[in-house]
Amino acid sequence: MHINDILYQKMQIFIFSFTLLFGQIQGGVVASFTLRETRLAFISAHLAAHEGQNYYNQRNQNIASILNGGKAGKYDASISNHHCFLLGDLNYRLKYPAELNEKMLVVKKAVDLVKDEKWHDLNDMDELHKGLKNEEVLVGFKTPLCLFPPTFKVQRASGYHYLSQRSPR
Amino acid sequence: MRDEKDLRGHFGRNLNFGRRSFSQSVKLGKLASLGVSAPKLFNRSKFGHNSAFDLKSKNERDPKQLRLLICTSNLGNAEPSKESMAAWIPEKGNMDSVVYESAFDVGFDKKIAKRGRGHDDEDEKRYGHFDIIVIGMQESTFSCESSRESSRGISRQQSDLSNDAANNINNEVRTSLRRGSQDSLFDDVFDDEDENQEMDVFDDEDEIQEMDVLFDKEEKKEDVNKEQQEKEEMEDQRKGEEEEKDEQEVRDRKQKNENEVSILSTVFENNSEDKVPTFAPEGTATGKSEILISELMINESVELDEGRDEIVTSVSNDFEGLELDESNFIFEEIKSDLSLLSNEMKPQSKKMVSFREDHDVASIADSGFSDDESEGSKVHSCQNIRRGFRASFNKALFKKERPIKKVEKRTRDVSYVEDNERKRSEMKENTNRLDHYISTQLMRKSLSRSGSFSKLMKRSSVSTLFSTVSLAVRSSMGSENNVSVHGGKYKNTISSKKKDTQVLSQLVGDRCPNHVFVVNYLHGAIRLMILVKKKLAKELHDVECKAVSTGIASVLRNKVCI
Repeated sequence: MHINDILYQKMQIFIFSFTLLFGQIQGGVVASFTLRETRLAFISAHLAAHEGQNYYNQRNQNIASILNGGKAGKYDASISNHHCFLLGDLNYRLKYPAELNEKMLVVKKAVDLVKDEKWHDLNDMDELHKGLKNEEVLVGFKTPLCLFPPTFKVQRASGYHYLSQRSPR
Repeated sequence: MRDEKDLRGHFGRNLNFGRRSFSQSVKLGKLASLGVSAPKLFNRSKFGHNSAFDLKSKNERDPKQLRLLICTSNLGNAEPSKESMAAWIPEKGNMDSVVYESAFDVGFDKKIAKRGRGHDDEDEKRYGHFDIIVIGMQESTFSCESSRESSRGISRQQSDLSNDAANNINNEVRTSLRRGSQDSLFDDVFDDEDENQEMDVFDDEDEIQEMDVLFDKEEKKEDVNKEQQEKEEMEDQRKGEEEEKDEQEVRDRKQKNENEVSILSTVFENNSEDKVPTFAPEGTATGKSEILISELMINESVELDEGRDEIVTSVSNDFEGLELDESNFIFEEIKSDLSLLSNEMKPQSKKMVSFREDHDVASIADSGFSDDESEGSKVHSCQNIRRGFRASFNKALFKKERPIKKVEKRTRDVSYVEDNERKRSEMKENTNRLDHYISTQLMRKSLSRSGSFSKLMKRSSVSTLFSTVSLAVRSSMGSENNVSVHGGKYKNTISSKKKDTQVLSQLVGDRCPNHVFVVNYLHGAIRLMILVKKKLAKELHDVECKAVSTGIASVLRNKVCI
């Protein structure tokens, strides 16, 4: 048995035991193929959750790890392919203005924006958009605008009724 | 996405994106961006997002242009259905359903969707199909409805259930636990349906009928005796000899007691000499069940002639299914419960207690052994004999006392209902303690994370705990080795060993019959499926799949519990 296989098995046991203790694994799956002399890569990712700067940095770090893990040769997945698509539960939140301190105010603000269908305002507060703009994460990538109501913390019913536990995003 | 301009900078050379695009900059235009209501899809998903892209050169009539549909959703470990898939993935990769039938404005030039449509069939001409459909799923491990009964028994994943359904499962588990403990106690007294027949310890209807007949006879006899007594009293009143009558009653009672003792002593003698019953060792499951049943027979004065062996085997089977710690714990619990019952004994049982105290059973049993035997075996045999004696003792007592006792309880003992209510509450407490014990044992062994199982502990549902563990195991074991295939063979990237993967593949495959799976990969609870048009799939090569773990999520506590 090759040393890599042994290491992989040990890693699997390690992950298995940690999963038992803590829960599900976060990370990503990178698939790539060549079509018409063009290399395409697709990444399905599940990044760290929760609000706050630390968690935001953690998400960025997760993306870097996933891209690095999917590298072919020297280059990571983002540059070793002609086109790279990242999709998944990225868990990026909305950063509200500083004057909105209380949670209820934040939720109210978000719900009002959704009611008024001010999608661009919501997108401006999106951490991912800001991160792309400031080149903090996924430099060179683009993301389409989300011109639809947020789907996080929606009640289990038809329509868009948000739970007041956390702000929609 | 990175476009060619950036990539050119990275590679320092021109890209091989087709001859035509070699000299022309490649434009990555967004075709559509469609948001789909996640609750509409899976009732609880956080994300349900489709986006479409058009990879094309500046020459818009380039037949080599690709149309991609990107779909992603967090399933929340819920089992998808045909309806949810229909709301998410367009049928046959239909482009128009995404572009035109979107609930929200996708900001897309609709003319582009009409260009470059193939001519494979009429459907393709009319609507146009996406060439590549990429489906990403997170938290996508679930237990399938079809495989639940066979593989997981009563343990189910409850994230895909409503609260009512989850509560029903909890109730099922509680009922099964309670039934188990009731079976071991042979105590139908605590059954809600039998409140009016609380002393009915027989399951067999025939036996009940027989007992009813006996009771009727006894009642008739009592009536006759009462009439006689009334006549006597009348005579006594006439004669004015009340004192003599009292003396007679006292004498009658004494005679009855003497008869009881004589019967019991004969039974004991028979059992101690030749008919000493053999019992299983105390530590084994059968031994435990026998001890419990003997205790029960003593406390409740129940006669178990034929049904005893069946109960012993059923209870021992219950014990055998458990681990040693658990079975010992349950055994001690039930035993202590029985001792509680014995402290609240009814008048007939008190007689037994007094009899046991007066006659040292162990010493009597010891006398049957020779001095050659070792102390351990003697003690062991002594215990066996004691148990046998208790059983036969109760057997003998029951024949005499049981019918009278039943009539008395039914008619006179008012405090009996209160006693039963108290016992019932104790039983519930005992069952809860059992749940708690098993949960804590599991926690101690391997699941010592307080946060993720706090909700489970609050609900004290063993089934939830087991299903959580099984899902966690399932999530971690779902991954395969990194796949690297060259030379156009892409089928190795498809892993469909697990039932939920098969179900998902079936659902997605049904939605897109014109496409084939190029990638169907699971890592943990993260999936990536890539479907490509059948014609286009022939042109694919060098398919690679890699999985990366970045950490452990605290997702489980949000998703799996009820």
